[in-house]
Amino acid sequence: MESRFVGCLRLASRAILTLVFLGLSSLSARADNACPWMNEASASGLLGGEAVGSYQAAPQTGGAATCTFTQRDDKVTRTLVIQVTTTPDAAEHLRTARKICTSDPLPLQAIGNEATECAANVRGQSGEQVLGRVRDQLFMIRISSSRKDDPVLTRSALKTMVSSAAELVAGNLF
Amino acid sequence: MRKNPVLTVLGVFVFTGLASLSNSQEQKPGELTPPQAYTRLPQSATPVADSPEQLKALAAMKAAAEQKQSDARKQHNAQVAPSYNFHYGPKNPFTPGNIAAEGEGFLQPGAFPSAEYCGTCHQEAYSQWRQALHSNAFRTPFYRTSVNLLIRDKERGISFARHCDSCHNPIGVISGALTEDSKVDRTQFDSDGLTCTTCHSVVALDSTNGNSSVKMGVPAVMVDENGNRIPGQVSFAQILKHPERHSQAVMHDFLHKPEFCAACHKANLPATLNDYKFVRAFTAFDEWQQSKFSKRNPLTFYSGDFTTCQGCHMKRSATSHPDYGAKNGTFASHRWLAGNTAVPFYYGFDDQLKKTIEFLRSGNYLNVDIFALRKEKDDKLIAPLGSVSYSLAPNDMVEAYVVVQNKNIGHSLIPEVRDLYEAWVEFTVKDSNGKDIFHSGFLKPDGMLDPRAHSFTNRPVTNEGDFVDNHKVWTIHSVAYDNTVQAGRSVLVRYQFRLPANATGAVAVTAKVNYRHLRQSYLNNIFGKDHPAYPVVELASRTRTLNIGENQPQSPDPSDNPDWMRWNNLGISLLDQFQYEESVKAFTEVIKLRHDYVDGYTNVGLTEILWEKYASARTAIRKALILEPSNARALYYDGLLQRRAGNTPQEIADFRKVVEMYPESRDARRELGITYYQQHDEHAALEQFEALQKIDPDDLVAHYNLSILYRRMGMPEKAAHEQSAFIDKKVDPGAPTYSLNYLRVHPEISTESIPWHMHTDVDGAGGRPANGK
Repeated sequence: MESRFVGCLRLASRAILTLVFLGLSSLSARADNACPWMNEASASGLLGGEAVGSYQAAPQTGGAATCTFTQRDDKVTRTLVIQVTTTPDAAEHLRTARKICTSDPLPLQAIGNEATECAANVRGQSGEQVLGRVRDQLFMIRISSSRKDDPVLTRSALKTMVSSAAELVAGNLF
Repeated sequence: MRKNPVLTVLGVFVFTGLASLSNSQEQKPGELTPPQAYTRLPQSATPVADSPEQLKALAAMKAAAEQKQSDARKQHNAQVAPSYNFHYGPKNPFTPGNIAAEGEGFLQPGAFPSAEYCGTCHQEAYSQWRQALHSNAFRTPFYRTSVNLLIRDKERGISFARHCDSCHNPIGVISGALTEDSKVDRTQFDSDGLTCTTCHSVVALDSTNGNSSVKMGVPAVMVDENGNRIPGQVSFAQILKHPERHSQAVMHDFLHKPEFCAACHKANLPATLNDYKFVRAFTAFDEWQQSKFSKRNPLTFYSGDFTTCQGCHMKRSATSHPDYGAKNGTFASHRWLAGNTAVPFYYGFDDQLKKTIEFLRSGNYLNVDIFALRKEKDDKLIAPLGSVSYSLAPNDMVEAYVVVQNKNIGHSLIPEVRDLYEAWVEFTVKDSNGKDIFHSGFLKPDGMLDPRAHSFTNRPVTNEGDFVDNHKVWTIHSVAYDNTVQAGRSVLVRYQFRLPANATGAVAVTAKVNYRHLRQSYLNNIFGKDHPAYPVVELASRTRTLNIGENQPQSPDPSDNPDWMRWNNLGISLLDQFQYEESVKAFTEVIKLRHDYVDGYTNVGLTEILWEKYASARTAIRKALILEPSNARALYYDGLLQRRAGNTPQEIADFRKVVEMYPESRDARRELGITYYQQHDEHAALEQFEALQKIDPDDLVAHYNLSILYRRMGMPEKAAHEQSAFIDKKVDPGAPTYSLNYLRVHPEISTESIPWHMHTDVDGAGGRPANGK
């Protein structure tokens, strides 16, 4: 006799089959994304749905290059932002950058040279972010939701997803 | 954008899977879903029979799983294939890697059950795997730094990284992720590298070509009652009801064999990667095959018990977490303990780091022997130290012989990418107050190794003679320097120092073999210079106290080899340094101590063959064969001597006997093939060279001779293939030029590349404590 857990798995797997059919067919309409550190498919997986990305190169006068991925449905907008700045004083700038945290930053092991994770509840968004560096490249990765009670991007899920995103981005920066 | 409920649910499902990861770091078994209760049946128990209804349900489940897999795979291919860069054509989607996927097209990442799914019941395996190198094979910065260089290379790009990722991230390759503008979600498989269902879904091995020469099946964790694979995940209840079907799906005989490890632990740089030619990268597998542990090579200096790669690197140990695959409370280690201390250090995997260091220091892998001294202007060798009397005086100029034996490693020290790893000999002489008189192999304040240290490393160079410092392997055209200790062999390292004029009491002489993963300059490439100091592990060492004045024989240290072996190791190291006369003298000392030791005579004989003193070689080999007429090692060298003497029937008899006893001896097959070729017995020659090629698909002699034989026998296509392979694999005649360009401007390495070089401070150019400190 199957357990309820197994029964749920069966239902979920059938649902997934349907989703794969219906959902992915719309993915072919995705716009090209030039983000050098993450593709739209990975961002979609992290945000919990189809995301559209855009990339802005660093200005010639200096500053950050930025990737923004946005996933929208009727009630919520979820965003993943990646910013990378090359600076000779990356370690020093990282210490300053942590001031934007809205919770105590916690060190993350094995992300870049060094990294910390903290809350990023700004401008009505509920989010988590990782600040770190790979050599002289400072990076900020933020995942946020326009809904505080987002059932998909719960606080715990935000922490998990932003850490996964950070590992992916840092790996590409090495 | 209109809300798509389907995608929302998809996202939730993906989420649930990712959220169970907690984070990408160490996943403690406590965080996994507890396994269902299960009591293992005795091995002799008959598997539970399914009722007709259950079989019907199983068939339906299988059909649904196959349909689901087929649809998902088609959907994935429709998504990925249109924009995939088929750089080497649609028939070679994964070139320059050798991996292949079962069925048509790419295999979607979702086909591979996650490690957490497997880890529910296999918590010991999971907890070990997560800290081991295989799971971190892709994400580690030590790998990412060099593969990113290839991805960013303007002439190559990400499609060329299929070569590297075929082993480091096979799901990435066969899912079609390695292309510009990839449409594949990478978050799961990048983090998991070689996950459970990569190894456990391999359905076939190619020959031992390496570069991931496997066929990856559609992952299945169960088979049906007829042994047919059911793709994808199934319920744990079904697995636990028929564990034998689970085992049939995921366990194959070849998983226990070194040929499986060879799929990735044998690598070359093909022309499709470097646009140049085949360059051997490394081959731990062939080194094992030539070692005493394979029992396939009659020519080893010592013998040992048959031990596979798995035998050393997957030793069974008591479990500390639940694992339904455990037998009698033990489990074959999925830590694959070896030399990598860098990954557990970076990730904070303290358990793995501790066990790795224990592993490196256990097992009696190396022997370090301060074997002899020689005083200036005195030809006499004071040896073996500890067994003879001698005297020393202040101001004596002393030469010390340090013999490092690769005693019990099944491959070279250091195997694989020794351009990145760093092993070296640290030699110190201290006075009675502990003050340095001589020091070679120190670490400088910036962490860099003394450039004049004796290190087991190599120097791959470009066609301009520049050192390939950052593992840009596609630029390697030659190896200017390559220093290692092959399995079962020894190296002699010489040090010269002067005792202080006011020396009294005793001096302590210490030789250590140290190991650091990775080379400091490579760590600096990865992190910049501001990184923590990575662990340095002492693999083996020996200290001897030398009295100023008279020295008497001493009791040996428990780790010391017996004197006959000490002489033997010296003989081996002198042989490899082309010092044949000294080598014969050393082997003769072995015979003096062991009159009945067959290999003692064979060692003299083989050295004299190389020295071209065939008459005395014959005498030595005949003595060996008198002691043991069917000794394969002696017969082999006798075969060479019979060839020299023109005694073909005996030559053939000797080699055939060796081949009978060691059918996988590449040397015996090669020589017998040559003999038959010289006798114009083409079919017999063909048989041997084809057998040789099965043992080593890259053997040059096989390629060369087969190209001629096939042509003579009217097989022009096969001949052309062999000819092309020979040309591709033989050493580039320009290689010495590239090497010399490097050696000319690096005197510290060009000195090291002379086999009989001396580490000395006599001319003030190295080894002095003040140098570089």
